[in-house]
Amino acid sequence: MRSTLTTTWLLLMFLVILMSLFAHFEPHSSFFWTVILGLSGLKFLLVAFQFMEMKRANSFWKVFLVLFVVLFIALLLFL
Amino acid sequence: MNASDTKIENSISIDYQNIYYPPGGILIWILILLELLTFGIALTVLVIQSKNEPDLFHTMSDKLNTLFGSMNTIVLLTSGFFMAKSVHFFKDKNYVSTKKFLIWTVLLGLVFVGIKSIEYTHKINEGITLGSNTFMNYYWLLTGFHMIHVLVGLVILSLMYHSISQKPEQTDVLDFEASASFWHLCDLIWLLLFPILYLIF
Repeated sequence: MRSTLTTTWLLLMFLVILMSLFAHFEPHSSFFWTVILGLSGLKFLLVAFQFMEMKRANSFWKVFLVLFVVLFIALLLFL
Repeated sequence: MNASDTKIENSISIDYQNIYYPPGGILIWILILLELLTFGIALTVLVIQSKNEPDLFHTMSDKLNTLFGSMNTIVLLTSGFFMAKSVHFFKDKNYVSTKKFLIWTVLLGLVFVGIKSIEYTHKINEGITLGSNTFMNYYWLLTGFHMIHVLVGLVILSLMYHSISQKPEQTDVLDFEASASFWHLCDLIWLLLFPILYLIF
């Protein structure tokens, strides 16, 4: 459990830095939007499943969280 | 077995696979879902409005300090990591480590508030306040509501710290998990706010 939490935190830090660098160097385009929102969605799910321990919850909650992230990002991308 | 023993025993044997008992409890998760939907709808409307005023949104988003935003993301996620560690140690009945990580969680929460306050001060000094334009209205309202959540979370965690310091054996795991879930909610909201307000326009 401890190593999983630490690994999750390290991965989150890597994703934050990656997103900041990408935002700094990449010109704004639909690809840019997709990557930025995709990385944010990934971080969201890592926090929910690992830090909030939703990986142990009933499938209903897992499906709801994944659907929320996917639909939210899809909605923003297709607006 | 007295009432408090029963409470502790019940807390430890929670069946998280039961749909009514997600980690933290059903009530905090109903709150979390409502909060996520509320912020999600507000951010969607923000993106829709950006189509009407793309230049304004681009210019104003550029005025936001992405370094402050990134630092706050790191601070809040690290605070969430310490919170998760604290919950882990609480379940192991290691109350010394529980309190140690809880203090670090609160301290980093205060750092977040400090960085955000500096950012707010810069904006006010530049004359960018609520009512300046459409983008800034969203900025102030969304980050302001998020800040309120962080402050409420800090109060809740301080109360939990007090409870664990006084009567650790009588502090319910579900209560502690619910407090932690509220704190992680602040992470989740920020992870949605930061890229949309600071990066994508």
